[in-house]
Parts: sequence; structure tokens; C-alpha cells
Amino acid sequence: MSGGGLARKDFASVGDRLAPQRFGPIGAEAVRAFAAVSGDRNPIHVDAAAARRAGLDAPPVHGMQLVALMHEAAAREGAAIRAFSTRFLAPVPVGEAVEVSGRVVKVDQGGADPHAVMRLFLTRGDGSLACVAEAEILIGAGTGSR
Amino acid sequence: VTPKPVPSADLTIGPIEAVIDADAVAAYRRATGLEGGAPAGSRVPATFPAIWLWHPEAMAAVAEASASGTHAPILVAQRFAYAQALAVGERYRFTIRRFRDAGDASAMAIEATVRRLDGSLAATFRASYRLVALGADLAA
Repeated sequence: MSGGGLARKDFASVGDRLAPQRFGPIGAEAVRAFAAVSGDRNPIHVDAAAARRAGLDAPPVHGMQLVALMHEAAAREGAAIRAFSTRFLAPVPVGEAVEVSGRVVKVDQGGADPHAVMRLFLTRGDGSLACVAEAEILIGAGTGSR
Repeated sequence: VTPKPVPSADLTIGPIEAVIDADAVAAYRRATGLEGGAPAGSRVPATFPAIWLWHPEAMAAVAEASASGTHAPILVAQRFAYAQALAVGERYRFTIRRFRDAGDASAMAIEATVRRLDGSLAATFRASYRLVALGADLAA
């Protein structure tokens, strides 16, 4: 869905950036597959009429699928993530591509628990913001994700 | 009578024992579009335990919210935190708790705690939902 082969980083300095990564388009088949695998069969994700009854113009991609993409974008560049918080600001309609970017906004090197906080952004095809997340990243834990 | 948008009582389900199956992890990675990067099954996606919200013994925590057909749960926020990495083939016990917001009848939160069989904490997970009233499909 998106390219690997990215340089691996330790994200130990404020301002370190996560290279923008594009995923998708996330089509109806992909959403149905995620519904089947995750067990989340909320009809608003797969049924246009159900989405309209909930006030949405179109079925939205599952929020947890978007979280998985944001997490993966950071993990592929070597972030060892121990916690991840997301706020969903706007739905991503089925059929859209998304882009994930991020930057380190805080670093705490003191004590026995050196870590950084990365803020991540997931934007829709039109550039509007759909999700904001914060990842707590272990510094000096090697590459890879929890 | 207007149906209550949120199930009437807080709820605790579990602990429930589950194994992280390699095939399930591989299927999850494929369905999530994570087929690049690490080989399938070699790393458990951090969001993978969310599927346990829909475990047959646990799904009532969320499913009850829409069982009446009058409301649908919309995910508005989530957080997970790991004390230790999850491993393919390992068995865990998870407990799910559902909370209401006393000040907002349309708000609901689910918290899950995942422990290894030795009792040590592996991860916690929280999902916050807004229960949206379903109207008529005006396009129908």
C-alpha cells in the first residue's frame, strides 16, 4: 500500500521529521477486508445508506485502520513506540488516499526513561486533516516498534 | 419512549484468554495494508489487540450500543500503551470495561487491559466513542 525502504532514525531531537508516507486509495474492498479481520462490522463502514443515516456523506474508513497506518509509518522509520494516542477530527471516506507525516515535538533525555514525543498528522486526499496523534518513542531502544 | 443512547450500566467482561495466532496477524497485516516492511507475522501490529473488542465473549461491550438500531458508535479517540511487546504464539488474558460519561449520555469509553498469563501487564487500550443517533436515509 505504501513504500518501505525509508531511512531508519532514532527521533531523538526536537524537529526530527517523519518523511511523509502515502497509503491507499483505501477502497471498499479493503474496508470490507478490515471489517472481516477485525470483527468490527459496524454497518456505517460498509453500507452507504447506514453511513447517510449517521449523517455522513459516505462510508468512512475504520478509525483503527487509520491508527494502524499512522503507527506503521513511524515504525517503518525505526520508531520504537510504547504509546500512541489519536484524535479523529474528520472521517476519511472510502476510496480516498491518505498521507501520514510527523515531527518530534518533545524530548526527555533525563532519568532512566529517555523518550520523545512525536506528533503525527493524517491528511485526506484534499489535504485536510483527518487525525492527529501523539506517539511516545523510546530513545536508545534500538529500531523497531513495540 | 426515547431509547437510551448508551447501555444503561457500566460493564466488565473477562478476563478472557486469547492467543496471538500467526495466521491472524498475517491476515490483519494484509487487511490493514501493511504488507510492506516487516515480513507478515514477524511483528504484531500495535493495533492488533483491538480485534479482541470484537471477540465473541467481549463484543457486547460495544455491540450493545447499537443493538437497538437507533444509534451507531463512532470512534472519536483512542490510546494504547505497551509495557512489553506482544508476541506471536503467546497467550494473554484481557479484560474489557465499558464506562459511561455521567455528563454526556452520548459518550462511551472502552478500556482493555492485556496481561501475560504470569499476570504481568502487557498493554492497555482505551477507545472513546460517540453514539450518533441514526436518522432516516433521505437518499433512499
